[in-house]
Amino acid sequence: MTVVPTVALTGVTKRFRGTAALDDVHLTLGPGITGLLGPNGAGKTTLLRITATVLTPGAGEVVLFGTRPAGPEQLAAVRRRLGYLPQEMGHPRGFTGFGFVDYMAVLKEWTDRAARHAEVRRVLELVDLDGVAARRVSALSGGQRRRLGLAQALLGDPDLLLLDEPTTGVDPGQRVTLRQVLSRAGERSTVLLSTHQTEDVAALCDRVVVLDGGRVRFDGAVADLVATAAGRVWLADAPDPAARASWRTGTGRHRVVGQAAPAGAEPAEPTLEDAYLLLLGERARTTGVAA
Amino acid sequence: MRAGPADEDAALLAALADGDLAAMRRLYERHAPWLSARLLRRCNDPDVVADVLQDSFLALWRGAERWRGDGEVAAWLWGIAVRRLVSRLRGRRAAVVLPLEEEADPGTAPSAEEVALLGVEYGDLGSALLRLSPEMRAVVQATVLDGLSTRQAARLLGIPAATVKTRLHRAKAHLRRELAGGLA
Amino acid sequence: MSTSTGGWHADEDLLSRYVRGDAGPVAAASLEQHLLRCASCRDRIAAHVPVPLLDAAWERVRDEAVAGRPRRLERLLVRLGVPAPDALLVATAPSLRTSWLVGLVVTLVFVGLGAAYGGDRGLTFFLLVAPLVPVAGVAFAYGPDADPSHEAALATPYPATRLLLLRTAAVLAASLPPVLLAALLVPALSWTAVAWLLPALSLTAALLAASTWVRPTVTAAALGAGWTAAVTSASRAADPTAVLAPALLVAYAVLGCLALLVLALRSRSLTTLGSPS
Repeated sequence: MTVVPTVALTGVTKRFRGTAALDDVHLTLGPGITGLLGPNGAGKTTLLRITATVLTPGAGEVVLFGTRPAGPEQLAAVRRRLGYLPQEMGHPRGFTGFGFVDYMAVLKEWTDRAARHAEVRRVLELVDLDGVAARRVSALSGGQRRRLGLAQALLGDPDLLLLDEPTTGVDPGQRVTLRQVLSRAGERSTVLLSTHQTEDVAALCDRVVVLDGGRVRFDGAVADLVATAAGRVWLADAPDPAARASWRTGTGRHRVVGQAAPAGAEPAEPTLEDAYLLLLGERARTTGVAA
Repeated sequence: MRAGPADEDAALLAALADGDLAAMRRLYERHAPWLSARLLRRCNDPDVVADVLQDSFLALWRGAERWRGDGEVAAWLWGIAVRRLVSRLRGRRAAVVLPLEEEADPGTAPSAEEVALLGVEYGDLGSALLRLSPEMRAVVQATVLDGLSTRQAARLLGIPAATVKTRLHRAKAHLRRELAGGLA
Repeated sequence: MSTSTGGWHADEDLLSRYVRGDAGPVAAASLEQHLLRCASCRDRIAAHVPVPLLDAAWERVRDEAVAGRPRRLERLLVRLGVPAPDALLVATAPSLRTSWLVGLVVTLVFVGLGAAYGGDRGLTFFLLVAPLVPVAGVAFAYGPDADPSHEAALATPYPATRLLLLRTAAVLAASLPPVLLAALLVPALSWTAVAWLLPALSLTAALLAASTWVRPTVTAAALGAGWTAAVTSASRAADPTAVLAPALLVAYAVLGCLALLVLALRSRSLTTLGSPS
């Protein structure tokens, strides 16, 4: 018996004006939460767009739920089973929070009004927005709008959930709510979560994919990525300019991530962030290049 | 100093403009019960009453800023509700009960206090009202107490507007006589 | 405001008799006046009122309140027999909002006045604006510039082509009759008052076809520039109505049909983002 993976990307490549946003990406996803890490411009958004069927790859093959969505019917069938939160998510003018999710639910073929409203209420409660559902979207905070975007992605409990930076702008308290929602979704659905936050990945994901320059640099268990940093993280009394990274922590000591132990340093327990820094080096800190 | 109930209503109304659903729920809990009871005495169809409740509170939700901020929210709400009832009842005569039709039996006759209260508000209207025929009382109730125009009262009671006018005229004359007699 | 009720309050027996409908006329009227001014009696009457009725009405109030009031156009479309979900999707387009339509009417008043009293210049102005009205409307009815949630909408099973055509139909239905009416009221326009419809429809079809490559606003700007150049050069040469010469009218019709063919063949590309944003 073979289990059909939810997502199977083979040799996916996408170029924009000559530069490769994605370069020969192979990725297979099944139920559970996979974190997608990488600096800005690494191709995370392009990967999510292609997986969400809103962008066609230049080369390579995208197979979702065992089918290549070629014709309009197959495309609609695949889209019925996926929820997508784009990185840039605006809202048409004049909607209340409820009205916007209701609008998205209509696009997702919830034609019966009573059933649709019940579903909209359900997802708004999940992301803890039921209290402000009657407020205009323009009056909501950035974090609330982000959660509204997540709510529409959750409509109909999709088998595949593609989330492009769902926690951006969300305050720490609400982030815990979101983690609960996502971990519950990950129990039965396939969730691909792009983020800048290594803490989100450490808290939620069993698997992590690191993209850099359009290529997959790491794909495996979160614990395995953390293990690559074993023996390369220390606590020292002084900063170490030779290290990959070193910074003063709250305790007054300096955390040093690098190849060699500085003098008088003691080994420290590595985190996902340490491993990420070691994997990508300087580029892990690159910012400002749009995907 | 504790804010009075009227101030609380005003504060809740102000919150509606920001899309505060919890404030809406509070206002509903405070006003829907008495409003539905009063509507049920004018229309015996609970479905129509539920529709009118819905219309009235939605009007409140969408038009909270139209409240001028003087007087009781309850009175304002009743004004909305009774007009919605009239428009809902267009072409639905069967659903209506004539208000105040039933005579109180001796066991449930109004207490002196109850009559006195109405006396406080409207002179010695209470006992004078009792002596009106049910049809005339219905007209007095719809126009004087419920605040409807002649046309609206006619629609509510299912009688021509001219009839409302003559009955009201006669009822007023009757009440004037009664009240003058009471004073003498 | 006075909330004084002289210390009198209804007892439980009166409240229960009132709700049952046998309190008697005077007591009932008396209590009703009292309730308008007494929050404590209003609170106490709640225990006597049937809960299911209140709960059912509340659920409907809550649903309607959170959903917001349907747009005017949405209510109109539903009354005309359009299915409610389609009506909602159509009415969400910015160029079908009341503010846009008001702007259109104001523009038409000016254009109409210009055409009636402005001589050749007025005529040029009319020929310039009239065919571009539906083009501008369609440009702001679909795509990333009209709908900030366009990308999320693309990932839904709702057919993108259907949405584009529904909104285009609504834009044409909303914008062509007012322009036509304005034109017919100006006697100076004679047959020009109707002939502009052909380039208008042809330009709109071209916009739809091009939207399978680039976002509609970009195409609309290009079409607008091209049309403006054509009309002004015709006007400078002698007669602005030269853009409506019989041979050109045939060309518009042919181009329009070709554009619709392109749209049909390329409609698949409407289901994805055209270029990276």
